Amino acid sequence: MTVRNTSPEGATLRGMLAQGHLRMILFAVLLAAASLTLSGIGMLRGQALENVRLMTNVISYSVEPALFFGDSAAAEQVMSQTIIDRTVRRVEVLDAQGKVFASWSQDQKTSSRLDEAVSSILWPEPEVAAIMVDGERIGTVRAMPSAASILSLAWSGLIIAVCAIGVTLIATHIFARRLQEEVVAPLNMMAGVAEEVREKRDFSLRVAPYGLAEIDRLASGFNGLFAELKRWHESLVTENAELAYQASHDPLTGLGNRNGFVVVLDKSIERAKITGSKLAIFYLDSNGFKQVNDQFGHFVGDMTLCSIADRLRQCVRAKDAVFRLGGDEFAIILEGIAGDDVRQVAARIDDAMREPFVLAMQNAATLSLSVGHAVFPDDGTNTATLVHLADERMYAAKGRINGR
Amino acid sequence: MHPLLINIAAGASLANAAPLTEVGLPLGSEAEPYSPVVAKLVSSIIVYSTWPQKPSTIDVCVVGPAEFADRLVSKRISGGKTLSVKKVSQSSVAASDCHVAYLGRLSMQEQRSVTAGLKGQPVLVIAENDPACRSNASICLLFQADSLSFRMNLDALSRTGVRIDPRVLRMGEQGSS
Repeated sequence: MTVRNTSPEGATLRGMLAQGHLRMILFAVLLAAASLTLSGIGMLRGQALENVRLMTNVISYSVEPALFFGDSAAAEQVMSQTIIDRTVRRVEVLDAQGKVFASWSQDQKTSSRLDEAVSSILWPEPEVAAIMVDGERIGTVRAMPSAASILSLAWSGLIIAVCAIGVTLIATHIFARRLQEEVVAPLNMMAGVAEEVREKRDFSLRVAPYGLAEIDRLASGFNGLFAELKRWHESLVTENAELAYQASHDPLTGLGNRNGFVVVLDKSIERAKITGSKLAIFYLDSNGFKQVNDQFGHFVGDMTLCSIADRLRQCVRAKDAVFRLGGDEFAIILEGIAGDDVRQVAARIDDAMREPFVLAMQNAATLSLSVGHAVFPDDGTNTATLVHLADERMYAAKGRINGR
Repeated sequence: MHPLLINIAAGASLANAAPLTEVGLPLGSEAEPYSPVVAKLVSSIIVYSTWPQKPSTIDVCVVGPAEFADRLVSKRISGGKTLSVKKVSQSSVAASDCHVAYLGRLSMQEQRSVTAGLKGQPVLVIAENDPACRSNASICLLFQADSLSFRMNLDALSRTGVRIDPRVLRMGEQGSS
């Protein structure tokens, strides 16, 4: 199980949220800007056309005497006083023959190619008004509308859209961070708990509820998993302990077995080396157990072995350990002995074995034990030497009994 | 008190007499260039003038020896009006039922006696020989080297009861500015 708080190579939730927000807001802003600009341009176009129509009518009226008198300078002066800049690009007064009598053009600065191009798209035909005197057409006013106001609206719309997008970017960043804190924080908390569980192997840790339905469902899933793991881990520990016990103990007598003996002896020698105390091991072998086993069966034999074990345990102190190495072979480890403790224990064992063992069908028999011992550090300082010596002495003792 | 004078440059500039040729008065065949322009200017002013009785026939009385009134003749003009031009002596002007009095080459005293005689009548007086416009004529023609223009005595004009289209007055304002 690996938990990553931040992953530089993978996409982060925050990045994803920011991108989602940005797309959504950009779409909204552009849609609003485009629709507003388009409807604004449409409205302005109609309004501008109305203005131009009104203006051509006013010009046709006010320029009429000048045209009638034939004074083009006066006509142009009337026009320059009547025309509102940025409404029209160019106004021409034509005489009855269609020749240009007077004209007015927008300031070269405000007029541009762009204005011209846009105007010719928005209003392909110039606005025309007749100049009439007494039902007789003496001339025509021809006005080309200007897109200057529409262009300035478009420009300001563009600038506003750009500014709005800038603000959007910042806002998206902030919103994404806030959302990230709300969504990512519980996830990180969960990941932290999972990591702690892994490091401490403490399956009792639980993720606290956060108050978000989806997050809490995930958390309860996590907690359920932890509880399952805890049960599984506990049963595993118990099983391991059982197995370890079984591996080092004799199931019949409850004493330690050969494996247990080796482990305990090694540890005891280590301890004796450190404390500088003495230690003795006894090897014990039953004389005549085989006959009891053959004569009365395994069940009686097993009972007899249990009895021997009990008696041996009673011969030593509580802190001393008794082992059944296998068959009718036993061993004892005595720690912290002094003086003639070894001899006393050997004598106590001999005494204990003198009492007959009760066998089946009211039979009883006395079973003696051949004992061999070795003392650390007098007889040797390593396990192998001590074991070997004790074994040898035990066999020597058995030889003496058999030789009798 | 000086009369309020408005100098109107009727753009019938002699240099480009195009409008005149358009009305069928080619300049080249003329002995002098002013007459057709004067005719054009006078009839234009009449078109934009309104008399209290709203006559359809405008009686134009030419008083005295007019130098440039040769082309001012009886004819239909715009606005549903017809010009009726006749020669009238100084003494009979007041009794001639004129709508327009065109004063020719008269002295200042003669001109003043004519305007005084027409006092109270709705007669538009146009003076040919009064560049300073002191004869109480409503309109005084100004013959310049390259153009014909006119002055307007609004004070005199308002007393006659003849109304001239304010758009024409505006043209004069522009000329004086």
